[in-house]
Amino acid sequence: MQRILIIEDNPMVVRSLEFKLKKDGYDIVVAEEGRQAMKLLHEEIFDLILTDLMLPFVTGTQIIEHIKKNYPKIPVIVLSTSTQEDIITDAFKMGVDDFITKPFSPSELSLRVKRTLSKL
Amino acid sequence: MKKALRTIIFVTTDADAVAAFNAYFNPNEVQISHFTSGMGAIQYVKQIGEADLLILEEHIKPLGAVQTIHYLKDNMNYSGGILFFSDSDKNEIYTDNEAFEVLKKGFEKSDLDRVLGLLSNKKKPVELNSKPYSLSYLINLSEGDDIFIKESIKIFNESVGKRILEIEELFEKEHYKEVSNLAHNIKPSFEMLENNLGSKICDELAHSQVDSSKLEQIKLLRDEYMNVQECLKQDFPELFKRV
Repeated sequence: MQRILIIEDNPMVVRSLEFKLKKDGYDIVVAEEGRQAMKLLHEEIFDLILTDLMLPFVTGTQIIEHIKKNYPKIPVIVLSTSTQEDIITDAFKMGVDDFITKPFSPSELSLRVKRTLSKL
Repeated sequence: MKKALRTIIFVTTDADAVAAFNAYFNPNEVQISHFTSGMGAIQYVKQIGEADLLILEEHIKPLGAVQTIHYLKDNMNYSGGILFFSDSDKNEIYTDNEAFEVLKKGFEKSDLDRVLGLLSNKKKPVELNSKPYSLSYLINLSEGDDIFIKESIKIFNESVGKRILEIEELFEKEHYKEVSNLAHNIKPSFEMLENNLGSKICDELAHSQVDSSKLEQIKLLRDEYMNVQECLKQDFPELFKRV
């Protein structure tokens, strides 16, 4: 079973992502803030990371930098609000694979996650 | 989120058809609520009410189109329009004494024009939701999973209430950047309950300069949260019982 790390601090969004992705057959691990995410990345193996950009303690941008430097093979999908175009552009420049806007469309989430994982 | 004037419940496992529906109907102010089983449609009708049109894939599992129609008509007096979505060559499919028109798989734009025509022929548009929230996003996402929906309501109530309290405290201390960040954080929660006012206020606090002049918006955000909470309390009293 493929493992996905969700890094997101809105509990309603977390629960929805978890519900949908578990239903799609993935193993889900959640980190509600950046430091916890970095610890999990160090200790466990993931096939995909879904991360918010505005997080407490460590920002999403710092996390992406950390992932791209230390775990370059793990694809990253950014979770964003539609009003963050500049930040999304910057994230793509950092090498993220895709982005999904919140609140996400369930079918779009499934499709984008599947497509990103199929590139592995 | 913009309010749709008409709604279609589309029950199918054909993701391409759903994408085509969204691309065609959303600009025409028609909301597509998609489910991959008849159970999702039943939950939608229970929670939200009838749609303008229900389109059911004929051989969908586990609850087929015919069984779903039987359930809706026998138990919920469903009276909305129904189409079958099928690869059958027939133009109509009969169940008991009723005939239903067929939208053929691999449909073309002219077929969607016909469906839009069916919606336009209806005299009465869907009544806009007078409540300050709607569960249609959560029902859509979970295909009507009652446990998930109730859990999400509880999470909204607890997490957004806590965050608004923090926003008020930070605002008093003039920590405006943190106020913006928290507003950004809770915006999707309002959106998931399709509360436009809460989402709009959060957006403004998150993306414009926050200073002492924003006091009214923060009060308004608190009021709107209370408004949603009150309505949820009435609709789901069991979730708000103190232990």
